[in-house]
Amino acid sequence: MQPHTKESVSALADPEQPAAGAKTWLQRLARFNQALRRIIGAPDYAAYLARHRHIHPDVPPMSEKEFFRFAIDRRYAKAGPRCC
Amino acid sequence: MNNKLLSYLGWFLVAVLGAFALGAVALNRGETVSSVWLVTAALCIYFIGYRFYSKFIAEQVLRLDDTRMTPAVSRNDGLDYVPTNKWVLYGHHFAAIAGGGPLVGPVLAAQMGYLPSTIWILAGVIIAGAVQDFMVLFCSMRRDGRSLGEMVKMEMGPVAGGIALVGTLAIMIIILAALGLIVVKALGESPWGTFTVAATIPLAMFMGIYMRYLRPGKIGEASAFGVIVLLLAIWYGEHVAADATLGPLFTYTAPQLAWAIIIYGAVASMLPVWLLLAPRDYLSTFLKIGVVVALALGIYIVAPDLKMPAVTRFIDGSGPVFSGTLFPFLFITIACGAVSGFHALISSGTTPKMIERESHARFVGYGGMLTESFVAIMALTAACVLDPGIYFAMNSPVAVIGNTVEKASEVITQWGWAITPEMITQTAKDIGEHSILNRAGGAPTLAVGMAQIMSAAVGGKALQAFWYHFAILFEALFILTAVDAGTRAGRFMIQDLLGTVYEPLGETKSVLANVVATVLCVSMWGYFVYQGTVDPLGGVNTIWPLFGIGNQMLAGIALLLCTTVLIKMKRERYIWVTLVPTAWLLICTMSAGWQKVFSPLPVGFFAIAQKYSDAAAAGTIIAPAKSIADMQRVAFNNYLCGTITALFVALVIAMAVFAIRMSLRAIRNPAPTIRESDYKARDPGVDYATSH
Repeated sequence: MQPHTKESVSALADPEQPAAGAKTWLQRLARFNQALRRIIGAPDYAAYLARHRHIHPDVPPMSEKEFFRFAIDRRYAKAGPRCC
Repeated sequence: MNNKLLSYLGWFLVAVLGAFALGAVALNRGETVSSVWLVTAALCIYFIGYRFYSKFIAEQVLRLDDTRMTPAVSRNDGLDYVPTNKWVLYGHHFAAIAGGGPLVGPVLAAQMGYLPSTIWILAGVIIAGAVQDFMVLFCSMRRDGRSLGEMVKMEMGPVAGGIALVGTLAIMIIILAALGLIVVKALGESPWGTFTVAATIPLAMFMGIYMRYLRPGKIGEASAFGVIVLLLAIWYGEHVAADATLGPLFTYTAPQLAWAIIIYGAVASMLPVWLLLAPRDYLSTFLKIGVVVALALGIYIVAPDLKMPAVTRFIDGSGPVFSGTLFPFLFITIACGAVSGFHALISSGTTPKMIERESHARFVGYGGMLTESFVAIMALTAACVLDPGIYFAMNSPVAVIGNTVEKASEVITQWGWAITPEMITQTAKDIGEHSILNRAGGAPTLAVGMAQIMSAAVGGKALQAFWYHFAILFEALFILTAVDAGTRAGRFMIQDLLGTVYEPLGETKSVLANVVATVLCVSMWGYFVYQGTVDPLGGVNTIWPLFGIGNQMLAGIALLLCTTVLIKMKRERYIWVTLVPTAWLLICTMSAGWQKVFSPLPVGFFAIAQKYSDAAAAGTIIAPAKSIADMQRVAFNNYLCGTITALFVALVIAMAVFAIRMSLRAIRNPAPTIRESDYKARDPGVDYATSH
């Protein structure tokens, strides 16, 4: 259900990956999964990892577990009002 | 050239279909009309409004610029600022703006017939609601994703910013009260419903622990498990209700449930977010999207007839569901489905930080609101396919139709909708409840409508009770999430305000300060929820107009900001785009506010208060009050509601004065005085949502 393994993360994040045509079904599933997570406002570890490597290549990133805790607390701690 | 011609031909056909469908809805008098026409007319109008008006706004008025970096790209941190595919972001934005409002408003407004509501939902969204969402999103996107309050402060000054903050807090308290009351009214004396809603609390907690400790980050697994257990809980709820020992354990009166939700709000908003809020938010978002899709399919498959007349005689203001004439109270009542001020907070929240390129704001902002409006149309449809007798039995207060089926059927039949006591009892039995009388608040009515549509599509009569409780649970789920999140947000605002008076109270890390602010926030909305269950004249019928005025007022503030921004950008020739809806909203809120304050009975709050307090002083008791204490309660609550309304009106006037002053200054200045983030160029050919 959650293919955020090391392989799929790099497949999602790596800009050197070949474009659209060469996608395997696993990658498609990973994309779909990522889309669902974004829609419900859940943290996106792949996006974080890719960005982190880009901005601070020398700082080790948070693990998926650490990131998940950090991002959930952050998102909801200052959550604005929910809609009526 | 050929393509262009084909495209025009296509749009011409959409226009013809829309006109035909609308004609079928509007002109077919005396015989029933299929709801498919209503829904089709709405869809055609949305497509045309999107294709032409939103394109005009995007290209001519705002001049969205894809060579300009959006904050998602320039500040991409993979956390808050994330460039996102436009379809995904549209889904995210829609899930964030869709709530109880568009479901409740149209159901209450249905008392005037389906036609006035339909016209306002469609016209309102095209010229006001979607414009507001789109333009606030644009303004925030050009200002690094700043919130509405910050933008008001930036563009209209600090005093205006402070007023906007107080206004937002006040309307949030009212919306929490209204939402809480809806749940309470839906679950009163309903063990089946109460059991399923109560079951979501341990379920969400289990999901939270699962996602944090057992399988960190595995939201999909936890949510799938959650949905399955929810369905099982609904199925098992029937047995709970029928059980001799379990049944009474989950049967509560409305005042008891009011206390339950007050305590729940206080406790839940102080728990860690991962334990209850986040997991239930995920669950409710999945359900929300699923239900909207299922309801749309259901309407097209079943194609039920609209049984409510196009226009009822209650447009004269004598209706039982809410008092007041078509203008302005229809507009105040429908609120969110046509234009919602709350969306200005969402459009300046997470969404602007995720937009990949400027032109996407049109699809996400304008398109997202059109979808919300479509939800309102479906809610209206669900209410209008019900037998009007059933509709009025469910939505009229005790004061008007009494609390027995015999009395209710007698009163409603006199209104011209023949209904027998047996029909009312049978409807209650079909959905697995003891009684459907006086269940105002939208949720139960919508649930009965949905249950009739869904059971006609899947499962037949045997599943009607299941679908009813599914619909109740679906609404309760996101209302409880809203109560939790809203109380947290309210706590922060209160701490902000308190911190300016006594600094330690503003400390967000202090447990004591947190408790103080939480208790303050909960007691403010909790007061209205509790009074709504014990005040003989109280309830959703009373608080909803207050909510509507507040919500439309907030939309007025947001549109005033957009107007000021347009002038400061030196796009004065287009200010009618925001000025027309602003003017309309101000006219509606001011005249509704005026009537609620100054009108005679039965509309004016002060008139009602006066009547009851005079009678109480003279020692007489007016039904439905049963004691002098009841009388004094009615009087006090109406004084309170009247005062809040007057406060809302004063806020709007103050904001309008600020906006006019700022605008006049900007008009005199020959150069743009806008305060946007700096322009940074980007390559419009690169898709940042797929490459990092």
